Amino acid sequence: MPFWSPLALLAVALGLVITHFAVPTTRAWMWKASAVVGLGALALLLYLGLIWAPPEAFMSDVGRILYVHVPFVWMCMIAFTLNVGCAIAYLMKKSWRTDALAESTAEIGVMFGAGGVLMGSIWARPTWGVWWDWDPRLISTAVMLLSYVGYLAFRSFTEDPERRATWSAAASILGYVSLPIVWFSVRWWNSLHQVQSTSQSLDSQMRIVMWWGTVTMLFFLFAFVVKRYEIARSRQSSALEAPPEAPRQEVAA
Amino acid sequence: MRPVGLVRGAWLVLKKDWQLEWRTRARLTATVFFSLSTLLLFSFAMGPGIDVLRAHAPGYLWLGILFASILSLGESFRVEAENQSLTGLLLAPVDARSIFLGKVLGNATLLFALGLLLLPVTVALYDVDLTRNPGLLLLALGLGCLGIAAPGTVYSAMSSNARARDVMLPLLLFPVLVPMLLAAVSATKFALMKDVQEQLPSWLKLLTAFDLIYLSVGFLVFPRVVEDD
Amino acid sequence: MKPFLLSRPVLLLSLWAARALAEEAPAPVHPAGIEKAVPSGVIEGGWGYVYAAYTVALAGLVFYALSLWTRRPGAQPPPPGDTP
Repeated sequence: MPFWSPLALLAVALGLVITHFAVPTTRAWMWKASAVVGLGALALLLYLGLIWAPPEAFMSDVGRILYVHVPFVWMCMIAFTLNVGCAIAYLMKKSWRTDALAESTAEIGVMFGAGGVLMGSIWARPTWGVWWDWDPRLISTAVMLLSYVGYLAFRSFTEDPERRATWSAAASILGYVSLPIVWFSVRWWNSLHQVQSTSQSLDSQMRIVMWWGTVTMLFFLFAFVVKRYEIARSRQSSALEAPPEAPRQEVAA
Repeated sequence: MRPVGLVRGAWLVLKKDWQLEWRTRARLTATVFFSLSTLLLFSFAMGPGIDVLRAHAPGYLWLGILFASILSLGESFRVEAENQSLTGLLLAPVDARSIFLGKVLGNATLLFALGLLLLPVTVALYDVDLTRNPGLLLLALGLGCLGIAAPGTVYSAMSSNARARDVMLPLLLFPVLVPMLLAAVSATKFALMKDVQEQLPSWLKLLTAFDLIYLSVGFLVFPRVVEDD
Repeated sequence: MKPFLLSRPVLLLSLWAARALAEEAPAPVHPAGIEKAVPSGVIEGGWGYVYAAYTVALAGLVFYALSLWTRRPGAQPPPPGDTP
């Protein structure tokens, strides 16, 4: 896949989220449509991935795992990137909305990441002969996952909503920054698989399935983010009686 | 009162931390004995094979420092939180960023001192050769301690006020420190043992990059972290 | 409010430094014999792994959707001690 495809996916996800919040008329139906389309696309993905796609040249049928594994990991990375975007936005201009969005994207990223790492481990067993390996992609995803599990735990252990918002924003930035450093350090430490993306060697039929899977998961990502955001907002309002638009700091200024 | 400059403010905070530490030496003593017993436990767990121990000595050394850093970092903001003295610091005409710099340097020097004390212990326990490249060994030790202190200071400022703070600090800090640990262990290993492929400089550079990145991110984020206190 | 990131080029500078360092990276060293773990040739079968992975994917989606449903605003309040 071309190098810009993660960026394009991120742009699409961001566009969906921004549309949802900026255009009030889309709020009622867009996530529902996304979930319904996602369900249909998921059914088709199962057919495409398990039956329609030919076995891969070397990995044979095991290569079919990639059609769900790669989209999961990509969604995890997109969710974490959205989360760190929210964190930076929160530190620049305090708002309960960005805090709620950060909470939702972090949790969804952890869900997708845990699934992705688990599937990657299942894929690695027949392909590399081991469940776990010193692969930069694997380690950096796992480290990201760990630091966001820490982030979620930290959120649930901090009671004051304002401090929670500010501190978790800082924790998110510090955790996200480690991603490139982990990548490089593991690559120097031991490079078992220098071939970057497995998908470059895929033929066109497989590429179609991989993209189909990615788009499917993007629909789910959006629907999940919207619903999780609503939960976060309602928790904020119960914690703060009537949540003002911005924390105390803003009001006083 | 005239505002204090960034560097001078950092120096004042650093000096205050040093004085506080020197008066009791409680923190250093506690961390030294904690990491000593960690190193000893590693050698018990791995059995008596001296070759295995020697090969893994850099890893044990850094794990010892890392575990001890959790204690000392947690303590570094606990003393501030106790008598609301962090609020006092923030009310003083000192930039919050100089508090960050001073605290990082204070924590890093404490860990560095701990590392210096542990080096002879690694000779005794694991039979390593410190004389091969002592300058670069000390450089790796210093850069690594700075790498623990820079993100650790931000996290300990946050977690010192959270519930279950003793669990929170390692939970947040350890994932971030994975590349630091890799680079520090490798650099120490190549400073202690034969470095056939000249890998030591590149690991030192990675450590430097890690320190720079976390110092600057912490520099930007820290004022926001402490401003609500 | 002070601009948070844009006015301070420190972060960009250090990222640039990190990139410059990374480009200078040495060729990675392969520990001897690590390739032996990788089987050569075509992998036969392995449908069990495929089904396991697809089950994980579907279960992840389904259970997360369920958890969102049970936590929906206006639902019965969760029992005390139930943390997200």
